[in-house]
Amino acid sequence: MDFSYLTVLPRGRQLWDYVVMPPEEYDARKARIDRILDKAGLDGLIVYSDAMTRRYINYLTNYTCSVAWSCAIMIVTRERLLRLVSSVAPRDINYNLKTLAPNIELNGIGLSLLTNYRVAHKTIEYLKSHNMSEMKWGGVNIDSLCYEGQKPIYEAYPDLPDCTPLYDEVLMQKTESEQFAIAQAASIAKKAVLDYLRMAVPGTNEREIAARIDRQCRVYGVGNIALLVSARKDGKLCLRQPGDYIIQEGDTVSAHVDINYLNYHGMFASSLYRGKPCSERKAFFETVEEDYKKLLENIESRRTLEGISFHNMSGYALAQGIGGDTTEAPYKDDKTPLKNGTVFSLTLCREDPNFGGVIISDTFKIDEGGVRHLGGPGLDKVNFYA
Amino acid sequence: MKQYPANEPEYRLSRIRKMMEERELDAMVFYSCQWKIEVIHYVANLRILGEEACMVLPREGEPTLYISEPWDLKRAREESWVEDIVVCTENLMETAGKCAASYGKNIGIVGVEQMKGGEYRALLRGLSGKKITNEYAALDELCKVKTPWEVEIMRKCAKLADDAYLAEINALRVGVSEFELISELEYAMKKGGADENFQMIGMGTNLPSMNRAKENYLKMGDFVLTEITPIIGCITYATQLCRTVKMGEATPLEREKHKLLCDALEYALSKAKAGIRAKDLVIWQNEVIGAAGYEKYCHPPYMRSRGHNFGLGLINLSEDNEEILQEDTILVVHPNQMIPEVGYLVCGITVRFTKDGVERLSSLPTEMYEAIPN
Repeated sequence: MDFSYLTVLPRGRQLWDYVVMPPEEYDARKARIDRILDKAGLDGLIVYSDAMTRRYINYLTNYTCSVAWSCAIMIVTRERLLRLVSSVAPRDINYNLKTLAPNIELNGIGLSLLTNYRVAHKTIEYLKSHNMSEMKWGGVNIDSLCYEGQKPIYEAYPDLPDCTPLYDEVLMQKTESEQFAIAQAASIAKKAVLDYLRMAVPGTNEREIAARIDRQCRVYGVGNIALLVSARKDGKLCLRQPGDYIIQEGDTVSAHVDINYLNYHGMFASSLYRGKPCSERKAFFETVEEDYKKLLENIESRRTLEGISFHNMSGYALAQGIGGDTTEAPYKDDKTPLKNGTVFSLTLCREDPNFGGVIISDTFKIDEGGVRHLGGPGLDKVNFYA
Repeated sequence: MKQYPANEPEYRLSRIRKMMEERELDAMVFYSCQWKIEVIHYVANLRILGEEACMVLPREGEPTLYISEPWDLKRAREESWVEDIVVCTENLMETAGKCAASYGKNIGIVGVEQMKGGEYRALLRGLSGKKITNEYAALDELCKVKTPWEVEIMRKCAKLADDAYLAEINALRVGVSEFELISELEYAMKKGGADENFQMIGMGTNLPSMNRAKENYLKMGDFVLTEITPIIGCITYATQLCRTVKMGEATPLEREKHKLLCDALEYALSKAKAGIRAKDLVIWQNEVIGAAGYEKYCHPPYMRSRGHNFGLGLINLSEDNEEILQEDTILVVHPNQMIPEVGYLVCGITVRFTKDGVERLSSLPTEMYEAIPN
């Protein structure tokens, strides 16, 4: 359904019930982005966000949409006012009126998967109609736009400089408020997994465990949960949507949870063995924990994620930034030196034909003291035995 | 584990191949990314967990499925009916393009709208020199009529929505938050077999609409509006249930206005069957509500849609939609809208179109539930 090109200006903000961050936070973030304009010698940025890259626009706006496939473009200049062009349902306009950061002009267009790219056309039209076409623009995340969406932007600005790495650099250093939000998300995920994995006794099915973890997270107000559970004896850990498999004696049950809480992600995964302990299995688990610690020590001493991620016959490791999205800078194998305020997730999966597959995943930050868990105290120890 | 009828893959792929023959296509490229999985789910029975996947289907011969993550290969082999699954961590789209190009000159593509520009250009490199057409609409049309297995999945999905609504009723108490109610709805559906749920809720009086859950606590006299949309597999198999609950005894006015929506729904369903136009369902619902003096409120912004389905095979019930609804089309019909005296109210049910009428996939009554404490 195609709506008219409507403009909604929030007339002052009184309620901050739904928003974690105070207005000053957004002013500070805007100042950091303005420094990109100074560094690149630009007048403004055309910033694109979609389902997998919400962070670019959310960072300055706290904008959300109930529909996964909607997308948006944000026009950033040195003015305080930010302009959004978004494919958005009318109900989301009402929702965003309450939750948007201050000084946002939201221009909605009709929501449709097949015509979402029209946000790009509308953005170029907006720039023309507001006498902004001749300004010096840079692009952020334009590569994520579909082909039809890129066309009007590159036709208008064939030499549009890509400012995504500069924007990523800003996003990499999380503010204290962001670290707080991610810590909340990580804590919720961690508590739910550790509480309910213990209930994965023989006779329960995977779905029941997953449903309980899901419920525990949602009570806190978690928006989206990506939850994978696996319970099998065989060597390979195969995370999947939870199914009807009934947990048996001797199974290893694993849960991997990524939650979105107040527009920030937190991740946690763990495994639990449901059987009689034996010294060889204990030694295997201790090796996995030791390997995980070594990866963290490696990150701490070299202050980079380079060389951490791998995939081979015995499993895989993945270290990457997390925040507004599950995957963000610093990316896998990024050589960029990690600065204080960087937040990343580290996942290690080990597979053994004798002892099954196990997984550990957690969320960390870098500060003056080194690498620290983000997530409540007392939850640092991972115990593979029930 | 593979859980589908033995003839389902052949049934689906043969319909696609027939379409390819009619459109003179030598091969098709199907693409899904992580946030829109329906296309690959339909053609390969795989719910992708990695970044993306792409399937090449020749008009004659077996399909090849390309996935982007090596850690997902085992699960892909267990779940998908495609035998030839290839992990491609780099240049996936160009590789898929070259594969498709090897089958002939005319190539159809489904999923261009989800591909990043760079990926589409990589696909075009692989398909260099070939005639390329966007076939999303053709696949979408095929998917409007559900296979018997798809109908079974959606019946199960509708039962999960019913279970969720009953869980909601059980969870009602003064002081419960929207988050807590949602957590109970989701729990009921997830343990019953739903993979996801798309949830809207509204709690209060004189509500403007429903939206995502927020920090809000139930009081006596509030309405609770819920739109429950469990999903099994992918959103193409979502069903939807819309219900209104009154916390406490409703006033005669509130009962009257909700009954108006129920009457509109029942009137439309009484006349519905395969062969009608999509717009007829809109006309019939609007007839009843308009006759009560609310004609103005039968249009946006006071309402959004009189019904629809999801994912592939998309049908929207709108005043200008002339398409004919076929047997085994499944969609939700809902006269949800603003009534000025009481606010937004909802009432909706998913139905399957048959030769003679409709099959209701929910077994619950459509009337407003009044939660009166003992």
